[in-house]
Amino acid sequence: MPTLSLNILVLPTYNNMLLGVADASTYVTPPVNPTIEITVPSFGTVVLSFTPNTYNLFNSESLGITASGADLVPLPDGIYTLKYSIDPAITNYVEKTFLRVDQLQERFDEAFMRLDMMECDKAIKTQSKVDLNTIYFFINGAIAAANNCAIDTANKLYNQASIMLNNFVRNNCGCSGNNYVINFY
Amino acid sequence: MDCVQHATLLQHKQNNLSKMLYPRLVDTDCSTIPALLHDIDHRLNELGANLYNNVVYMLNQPVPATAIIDLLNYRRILTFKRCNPDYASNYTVEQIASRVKILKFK
Repeated sequence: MPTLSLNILVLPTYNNMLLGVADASTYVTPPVNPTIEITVPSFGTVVLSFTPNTYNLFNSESLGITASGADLVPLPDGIYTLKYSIDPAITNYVEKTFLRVDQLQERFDEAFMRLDMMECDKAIKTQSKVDLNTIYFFINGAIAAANNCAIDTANKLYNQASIMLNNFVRNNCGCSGNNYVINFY
Repeated sequence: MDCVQHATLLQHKQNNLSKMLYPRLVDTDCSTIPALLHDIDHRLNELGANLYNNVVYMLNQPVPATAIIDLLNYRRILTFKRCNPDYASNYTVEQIASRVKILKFK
């Protein structure tokens, strides 16, 4: 006999405009009034209806970041809190927190490719790759900290990674040589 | 005699033709994202096996750590590009392919 067990999973959408939440719950009876409460960093909380036993996608319009009919924008990075509940919501709910890093990850990947496709002195390039690896460790550290409910540490590591990445890109990836992409494409 | 000469010349001509053509014949599927992901996985498999032998048999061979990290990064980027072509749109799949092909033999 199955028992009620609520669980949600945040799955990658590979798109920085979408947030994907899958329902991994087991239900005894069909759920009544399933809703999800999503706290978006810097934008507050929205309460939305949730379709059980499937994969739910949310964008900037459904999360109340952009107006209805306006162009969609990338979802902000930061700590998201999700609370999924069914009636009676006072007892039947599950709450999850995760750190979204999609925008930072995309900037990191662009910096990585920019450095990798650059004609540059080998020693400088090697040092720049070490710097880039450090940034990558910070990003992964931030995700791990958020998964362990260490929100302050997650924010600290995320901000550090973001600052280092900005400096890295501003300093032309630590390389003053010819840019392969600019010169040869 | 003419026939023999003609046959010899024909053979010679064909050889030249095949030499000229051969380097230009490329597999058009090799720069697609699934093919590149397959190449990366294949290379990572090889490097992983080498690393295992290195540790188990204490071979003390140099480990191409940079190539491994780069391949892992390109695998992630290509996975994103496969699902979302607008991801890191400043860089095309062809540009990434040329880097992956070099890393494959590093």
